[in-house]
Amino acid sequence: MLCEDCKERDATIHYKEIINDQYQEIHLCEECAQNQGLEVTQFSSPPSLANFLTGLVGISKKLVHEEETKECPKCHLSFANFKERGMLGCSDCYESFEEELTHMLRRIHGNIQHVGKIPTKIKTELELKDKIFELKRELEMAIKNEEFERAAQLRDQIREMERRKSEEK
Amino acid sequence: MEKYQGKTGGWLRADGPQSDIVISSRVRLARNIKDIPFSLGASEEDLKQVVELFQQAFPKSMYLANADFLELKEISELDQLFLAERHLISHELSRSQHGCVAIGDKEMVGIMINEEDHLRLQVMVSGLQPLPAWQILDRIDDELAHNLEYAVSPRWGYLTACPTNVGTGMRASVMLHLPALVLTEQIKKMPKAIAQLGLAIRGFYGEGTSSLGDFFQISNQITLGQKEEEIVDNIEKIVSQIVEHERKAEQILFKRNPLKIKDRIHRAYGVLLNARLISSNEAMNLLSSLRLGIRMKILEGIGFDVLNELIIIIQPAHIQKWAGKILNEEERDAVRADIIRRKIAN
Repeated sequence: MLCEDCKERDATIHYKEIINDQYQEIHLCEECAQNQGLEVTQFSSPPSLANFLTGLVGISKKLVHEEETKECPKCHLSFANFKERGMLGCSDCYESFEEELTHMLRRIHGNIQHVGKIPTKIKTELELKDKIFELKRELEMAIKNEEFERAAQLRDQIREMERRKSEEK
Repeated sequence: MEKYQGKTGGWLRADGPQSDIVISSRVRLARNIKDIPFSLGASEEDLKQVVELFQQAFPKSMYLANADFLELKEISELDQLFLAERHLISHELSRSQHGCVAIGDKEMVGIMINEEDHLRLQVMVSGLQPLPAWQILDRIDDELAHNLEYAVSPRWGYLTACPTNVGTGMRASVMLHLPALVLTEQIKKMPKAIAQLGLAIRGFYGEGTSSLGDFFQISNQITLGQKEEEIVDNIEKIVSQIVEHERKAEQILFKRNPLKIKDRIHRAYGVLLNARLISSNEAMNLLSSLRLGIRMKILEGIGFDVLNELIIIIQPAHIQKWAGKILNEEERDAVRADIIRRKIAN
């Protein structure tokens, strides 16, 4: 089989990709694979999850250096270390490596926003936060339209909600 | 530990829907406690704190109030293997410095503490019923969340040590017995088709499509961007279709060559009933044929609950617990043959 990229050399690298239900088989020669930033590893044992994750992140060579030196300020795990182990060190890692993880999680899950359950306590907090945000926007509009009576009402509502929010905490 | 001997979990009772083909449905959730590093990056103090916080929280849960709590370092290696064979702990948990397990009534609920994530909650039920399993687990999760603060973000959901679990932290899986799809070789097409649906199929005992005893596990791969109910609903629908395919394949096998399939089943029964030494691989493969025979009504008189129980109790740690001593391989093969004979002759 010829390499799909250069169409000259024999394809020796074969891999399958599934992104959002789209299944694709890719056949490349070693040189083209390396040019595309794919790391070619000889597996003596089946590829581990860590290797799998590495494969997902380490596509673009340019980004690699910047990524690897990045570190989580809380637990001091480096991104390179994460790629090696496939495990994050603490919950703050999700913020510390947000950019890299967004890319990776989109490829793994096809999504980057959680829609399932969250603990009731946190849900109430978030709902309050959303509601306050909405009321503040209404307040701005009311002031702009010189509806001062309405603005005063809204201001009181916002105060009340902020008080509740600090109580919840 | 003694109380677990001589009986198996309620999920093996074969009283759930489609239990002739679907052994069990399992749902698990990965949860971590806020402000404590994930298990791999945690100090010994952190791990101890996880155990303490869980010990304070679980007795307040209705479902877990009477659960057994075991610290793995307090029990023998054989007992740890025994719990792993019952799907209550993982081998990884055995390696953890402060690994613990809480086991609920009839082994329906199991919680691993200090595995890859601080908590791994699971519910296992008989047959194809991932939704009821999720509903029970959802309530346990809520009860624990009252007394434990989980690491959650509005964007990523429940934060997990490995990003493949982030979001719902949920893995729903169903264990199936698919001998007819294996014999008709239709099983080979399944991994690709199933992957396109965001699920994975793997041999339950062994690798790939040549699973020992024709047992397979189907589970969701996507945990982010789907609701829990969607995940279990998806699994249930797809597994129902696979079950239909298996039933069709069974008819094809019989039509194609009834004598051949009958011969296979009766031979398996004959060996299981008469063997004096049997390895676990041979036993699993013959039990698979026997199970198919019962399903096709070629043989009668053995319940699916007995067949389910056998999958668990012919494993090495169970055999040694049964015998009450450490045994070498040949001794285990002898006890295994003995156990099977007793169970299927009744």
